[in-house]
Amino acid sequence: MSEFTKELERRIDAGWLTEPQDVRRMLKHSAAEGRNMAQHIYAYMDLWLLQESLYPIYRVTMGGNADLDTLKAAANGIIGPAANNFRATKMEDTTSVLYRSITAISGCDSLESLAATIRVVQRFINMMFYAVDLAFPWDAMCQEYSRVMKDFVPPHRAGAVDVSDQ
Amino acid sequence: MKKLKFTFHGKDLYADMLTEEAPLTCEAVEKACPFTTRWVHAKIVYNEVFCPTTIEGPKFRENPIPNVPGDIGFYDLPQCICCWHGDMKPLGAGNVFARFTPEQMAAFHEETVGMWEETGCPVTVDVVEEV
Repeated sequence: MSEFTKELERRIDAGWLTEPQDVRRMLKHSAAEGRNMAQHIYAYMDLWLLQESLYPIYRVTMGGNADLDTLKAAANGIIGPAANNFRATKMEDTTSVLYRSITAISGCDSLESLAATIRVVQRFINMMFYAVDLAFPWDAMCQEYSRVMKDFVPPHRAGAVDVSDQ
Repeated sequence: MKKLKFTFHGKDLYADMLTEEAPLTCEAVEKACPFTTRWVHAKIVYNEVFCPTTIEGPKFRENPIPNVPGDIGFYDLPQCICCWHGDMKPLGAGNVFARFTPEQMAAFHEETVGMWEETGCPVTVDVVEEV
């Protein structure tokens, strides 16, 4: 097991029970402007999409009947833009892990080692996804959303025919 | 019969392992146990809670039957154990590897029905032999 994999295993084990520091960093970002809810939603969905996107590549890699370099390029092609998104939301540890995962994936010399590396990165992102989930006040936000949305009409909808219940 | 045991809120709650219908998943779950994680509430299904795990189970849905209240499934992608309880409409077919009896589900429902408001409760998961 590589040092990178060991580090991620430690982060995963700790992250289930102790909130990772990145969650606090993300929540502080844009807090002064009162817009950190947007950061929260973006981080939540970016994490969800990244782990969902990496999983099929992991499955194909597990199958053992694909080109190593193509799979490495596919995985890194997904991870790179995602890492930039987490840099934007000030999730510095996640950004660091993802940039280093690109290096780790590039260095894999077999489908087996690539599958193991993609899986541990995907599992780390999964852990972060739930950490961000648990920091969101879903009940309070859903109630407030329902209250605000009850009479809200976006300007571009004014005058449009409502077909939602036809 | 082997039982899946959830310990939280100071209580032990049990479900029956479906070792005939999902032997690979049951074996993977047992291998990873015991472990402590947290409950997370589902966002779409009304009465569903799940807990992230480190279980490395089969990479396919071994027992993909439509979920009904009382079913317990394992999903490999998010490595989650999902529990459906009380009144709920399933989204689809999960990999069902354990099931609550009606009495077990009633006790589980009692402890988890408030988790939408208070999510993140620690839970210890184990597999035990029926006593």
